[in-house]
Amino acid sequence: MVHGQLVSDVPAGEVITTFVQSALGADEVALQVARRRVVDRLGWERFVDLTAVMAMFELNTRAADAIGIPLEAPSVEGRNGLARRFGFDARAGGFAPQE
Amino acid sequence: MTAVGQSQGEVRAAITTAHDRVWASIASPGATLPGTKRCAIVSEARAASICSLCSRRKQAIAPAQVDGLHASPSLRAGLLTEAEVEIVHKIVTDPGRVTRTWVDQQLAIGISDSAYVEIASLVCLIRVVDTFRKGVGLPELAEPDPLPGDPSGYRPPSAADEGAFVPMIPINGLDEDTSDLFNPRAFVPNVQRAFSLVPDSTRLANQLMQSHYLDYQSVTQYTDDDHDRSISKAQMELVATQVSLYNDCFY
Repeated sequence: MVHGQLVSDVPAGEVITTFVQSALGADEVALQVARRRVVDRLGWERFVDLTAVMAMFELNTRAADAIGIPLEAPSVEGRNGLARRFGFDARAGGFAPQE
Repeated sequence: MTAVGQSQGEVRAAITTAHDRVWASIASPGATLPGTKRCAIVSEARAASICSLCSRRKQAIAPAQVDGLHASPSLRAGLLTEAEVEIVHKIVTDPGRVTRTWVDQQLAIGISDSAYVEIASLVCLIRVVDTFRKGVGLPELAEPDPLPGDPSGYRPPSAADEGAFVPMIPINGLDEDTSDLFNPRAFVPNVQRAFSLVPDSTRLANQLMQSHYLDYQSVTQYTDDDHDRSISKAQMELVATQVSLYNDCFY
């Protein structure tokens, strides 16, 4: 999904993807290069906005998993249906991992 | 807009204001933890990223079977307990494999459910500030100096089992002390209620959401006509998806 068609359909998707992967990783040189490419391509303001979204999802993902929140009822069937189609691990009832 | 020193440009004031509020909050006593422990979690969350035990567990099929000691500045200094350090490191380095069994083990050791939520929320808040600053090329903020005082001991009276690992405030469970946490007449995503056992953490998360992304109640149905960010919804969702994949987030 990230390396496939979706990325190429999103404006500047390739440089954004490389930047996020670098920012979440530990290679400082790679991050510097990726950062420069995003700023050159999109400008500083857009770069700041996408960095802010990235930072926020460091909270949202960990909050969800640390607290084990269940999926909202309207999301359960849709998500599990999609997961089953692609062979992912569906969550019966939308509950987080128990064991 | 606020200038940010060594960086190449400026950062929206709403972002820096939210970060300042998070850092000031960390220094103050929380619901269950004194300022000393809350501040120690800043260094601990950063140390977790280079902890060799966490690295080995991350690569293991069964992380619980990998024994060892965490590389922990707070444990050495006597600021955090082993259980508190374990919680910080797990949520930093392997959040996608947090399970109810693991959480129950931490509670059985003597960590209260409120303390667990407070620690988890602090890790998450710190990650927002640190990740943003790393991303734009700014140095880490220094660990705040703890303020004196005792934890409030506050626990929302309506907190209940909502199917998560720990209690949350039900959508219709707000009272006069918590009425600002979310709008029960609108769609409330469960992630917004995740930290509601410690309401101040929910308040900080709400402010971070509004300044970094969109408010929680908008995220399921917004279009590019509904926001004033400089990037498109497609770009924001691409970033969000990538972070979720990287952290192996189930939600």
